[in-house]
Amino acid sequence: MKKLKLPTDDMKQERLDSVSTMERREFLKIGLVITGVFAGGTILSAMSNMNKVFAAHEGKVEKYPHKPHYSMVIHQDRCIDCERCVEACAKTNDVPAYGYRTRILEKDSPDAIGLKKEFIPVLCNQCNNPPCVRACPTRATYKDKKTGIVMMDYEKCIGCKTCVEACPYNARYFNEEKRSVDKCSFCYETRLSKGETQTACAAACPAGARIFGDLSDPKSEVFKLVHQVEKAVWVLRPEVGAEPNVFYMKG
Amino acid sequence: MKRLPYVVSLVIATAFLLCSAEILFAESASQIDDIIYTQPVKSVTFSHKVHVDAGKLGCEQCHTKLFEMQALAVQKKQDFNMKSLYQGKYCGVCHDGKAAFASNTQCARCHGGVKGFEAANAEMKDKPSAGSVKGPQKPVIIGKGDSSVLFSHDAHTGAFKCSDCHTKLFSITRGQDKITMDKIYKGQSCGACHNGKKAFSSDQCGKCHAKIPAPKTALVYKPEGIGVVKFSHEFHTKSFACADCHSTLFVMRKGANKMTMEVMNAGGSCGKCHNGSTATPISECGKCHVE
Repeated sequence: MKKLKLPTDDMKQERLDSVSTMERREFLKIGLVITGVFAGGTILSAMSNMNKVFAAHEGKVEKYPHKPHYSMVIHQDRCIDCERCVEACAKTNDVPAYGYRTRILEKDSPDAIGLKKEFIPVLCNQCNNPPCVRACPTRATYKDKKTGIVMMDYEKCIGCKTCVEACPYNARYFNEEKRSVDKCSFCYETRLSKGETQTACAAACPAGARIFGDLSDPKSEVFKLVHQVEKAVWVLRPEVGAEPNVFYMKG
Repeated sequence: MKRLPYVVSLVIATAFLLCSAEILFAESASQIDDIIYTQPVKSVTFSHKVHVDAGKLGCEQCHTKLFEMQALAVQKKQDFNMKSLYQGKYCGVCHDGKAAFASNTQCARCHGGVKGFEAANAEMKDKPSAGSVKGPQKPVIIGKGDSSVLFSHDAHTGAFKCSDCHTKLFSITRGQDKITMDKIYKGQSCGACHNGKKAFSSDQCGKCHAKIPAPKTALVYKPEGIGVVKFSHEFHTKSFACADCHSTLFVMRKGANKMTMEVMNAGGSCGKCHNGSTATPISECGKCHVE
């Protein structure tokens, strides 16, 4: 029988002995390079997630990185919505009528026995891990290393208002006159830097609902209130992870 | 023993009636609008509804030793602050933790704040203007027996506020004021308005007095130089009604009538009847003027 001539006869057979050693080496080298790139990328992304996987600190940190570490404790049960703090703040810090550096929120509990209404003062919490600082594209807002106050550089602010969105406490507002975002600065420019020890709001409150002080000073009222376990002390929206410096309590 | 069920049911019925009578006549302060204090802080809401209706307090428990009748008068006082309350003044008399919740707890229960003030103002705008605040519905009986007067708050509250009479003219507590016609004529008590100028004159006896009994004791007149005249109502009312003499001939007020022989001769005063035809003429002096 005559052997049929098929087109595949002329094609080079791919068998182990038809691939040279050099070709095999090249192939392996390419494979290793690609693997290396992937491995490197994985390690890099794992490194950047280290903070989330291994939380920076759990429980109380007894180190206060700022001196003085300004903080406020609010006795929520003492607030009566007289709003003298809001007026004092507006007067001291030139806050326009459409804006606010501090607000009083109202909470109704119609099914409660006895007291059915609560007033909750809110202000910039001067967070230890501020979402607004992270969001700012121009670094117009920054956490002051000395006092821990989240400051505003009005010159650098471009009014993008990303920080206003980012703030979990709605503490920021856009000031038309300054053409920049404005917020509570614990009266730093207007009072603390001039030697006063109290913010305007804390001084104005007739019920003693706002206690302002240095959290790193063991003799201060805020230190004593935050470090006792008899009465519950809490912060607003802890789940955001902003680590606020304003504490709330009742009693 | 047979009648026992009757007796028992009678006792129960009486007790029920007594209780329901109290409820029927219970004073309702729920018509009074909430009072909103704005000093020293804005704002504190005081509700009469809560204290009087629900709390079952009587008016005199607060008025006027603790609080004047005039709304918001107390906030002018310099010591109207929390410190005073803690010391047992003003609201602190009850809000000490025993009679009612302590004034240093549950702050927002009274303090409505700026938000409460604004909400209340918005509400007030919708309400019809507070023209008449109803006073006690239970009729006030002044005096006893036949000469008693039934005072109706409703007739007065349409035009006047509580503070127009209370407490400069009348105390809040029933039976505490001694109201006499003498006082009224002097402009005190009802006479402050019922003097013919602000309201009808107090000479119009029938307007308030349902029944005016004639004085039982004789009226004694002591004219100069001649014998005493004793006028007996008892004698005259046998044949005549009050209206026959009062008030055209005699005003029902001591010393208000000019009683001279000239007037009588002219047909006025006693002379209207004592002219010889209806009754003994006044020329018979000895009939009236007794030694």
